[in-house]
Amino acid sequence: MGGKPWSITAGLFCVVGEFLFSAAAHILKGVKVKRLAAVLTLSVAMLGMGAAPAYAMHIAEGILPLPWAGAWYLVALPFVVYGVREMRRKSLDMPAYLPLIGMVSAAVFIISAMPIPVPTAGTCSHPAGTGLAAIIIGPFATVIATSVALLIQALFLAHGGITTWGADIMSMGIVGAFSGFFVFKLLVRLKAPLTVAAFFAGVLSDWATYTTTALELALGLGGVQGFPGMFKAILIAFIPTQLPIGILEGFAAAGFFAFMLSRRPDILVKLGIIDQAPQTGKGISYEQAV
Amino acid sequence: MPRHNVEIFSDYFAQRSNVLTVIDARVKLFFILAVLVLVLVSKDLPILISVMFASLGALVMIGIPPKMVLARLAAPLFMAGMILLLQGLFFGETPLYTLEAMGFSVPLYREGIEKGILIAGRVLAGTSSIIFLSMTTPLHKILSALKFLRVSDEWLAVLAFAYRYIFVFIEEAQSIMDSQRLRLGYQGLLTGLRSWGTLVGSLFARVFDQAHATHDAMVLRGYNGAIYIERPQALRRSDLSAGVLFTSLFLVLLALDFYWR
Repeated sequence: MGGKPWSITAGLFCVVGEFLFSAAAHILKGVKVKRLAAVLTLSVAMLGMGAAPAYAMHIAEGILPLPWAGAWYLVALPFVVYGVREMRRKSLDMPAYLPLIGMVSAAVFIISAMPIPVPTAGTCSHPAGTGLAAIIIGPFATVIATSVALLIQALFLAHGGITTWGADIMSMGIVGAFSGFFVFKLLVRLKAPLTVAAFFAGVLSDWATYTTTALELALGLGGVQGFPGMFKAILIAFIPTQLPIGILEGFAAAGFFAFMLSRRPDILVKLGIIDQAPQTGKGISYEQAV
Repeated sequence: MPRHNVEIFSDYFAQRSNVLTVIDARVKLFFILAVLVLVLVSKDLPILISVMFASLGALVMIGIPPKMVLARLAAPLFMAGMILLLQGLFFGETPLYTLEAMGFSVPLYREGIEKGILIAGRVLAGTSSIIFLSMTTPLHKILSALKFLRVSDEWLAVLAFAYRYIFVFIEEAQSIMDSQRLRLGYQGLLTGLRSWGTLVGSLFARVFDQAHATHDAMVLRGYNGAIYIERPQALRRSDLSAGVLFTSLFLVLLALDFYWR
């Protein structure tokens, strides 16, 4: 996100601020609305004016207190351990499995570090890519891919952290992957077209990820006592960026299937997502396109 | 990918040979993990500031340009500012300063600001120590240290593959996006969304193809399912000296933390 001219930022500040204030006033009854309005408007203004990307999905190093950081590690650990076991088992049957998970980790890294302009907030944010990854390689393998991507981001981008690694795996890797995977499976079972199922899986996995991040932040920053107000405020503060980003993520997932079905159905067959390539005769091959 | 981005967002500086990069990764890893725990439990701002300046100062001393260090710190700095503000607005009862915005008068509270400064300090101190680790330790040394800690070989292999191909895929995604932009692929909302979907689809198609190509190439070179990760060597005398120095530094910080508490 580059720095915005002050005039544009100020305009966005007012428009978004008013929208947020009215939304907050409707949603929050009994919460200190004045404080909330200030939090929202100023956070949006800071997002607009900041020179650094708004890495909203990853909780930064040091934000969570030690007990919460440890608790999220404990919650994430069984999923990672099971994921490693599953990966070990599958790599025996499919020798190219480990390189594949490594490449998917790289793709998750890139997608979740890809700044997308969000005009409503005058900022950039990023999708997660974990819902789509879970559809492609399965939710447990996605937990592993996400844990790897998050570690590299924490080390080399200062994006996320080591102490918040467990919490970030929980929100992006576990909640994001499983929600996307189950929504996709459910919609496919209900005979929805693949692109539609992928769209909703992408949208809901992104929103579920952000809801979990808001929950983790609210518990860490507000404690159990201050949790309700903090949770609602953080959740609402995410709306201007994450509502559109979630929809973008849905389009990414749908676009993936549209592209694959027309150009590379062989990959979907190999991954076991479809039984056989559709006989549409439309589109050119990937090799021709390249 | 622009060269300066590779320098900032990779282990580029850790590949150099200097007094910090030659220290065994295990020594640095244990030290940083201990410092991170201290950062999370400490309530003393001077401790946090000391950790931050010691980490960043050490990097500048070994010749890493300060602007590169600051570029890595930019996002956490922004986060720290956000946290400070949120805490100041949400917590406390004693008004310290009143902000005037859009006809609203909103007080910043002393207790919240104090708490916010502490959390912001933790963010900056914690991130600085991670930056210290990653700018002085090449990834293969980190992998080796993790192998010493009995982290699964499969997980380490995935990490090695991912790091190797991130830069390849970033260039791939960038060139696809540039081509789309040249063909007005992001002109208008619907066209932009379609292009964005195609970009993700193309990226994953490339991922799948690259995984198979890499696997085939590795099989030709004798890959049998296990990737070679350097076995950690015995600690040298210089590593032990560094370990003693780091431990002393940590104990001093710990003692000061208890003393000030």
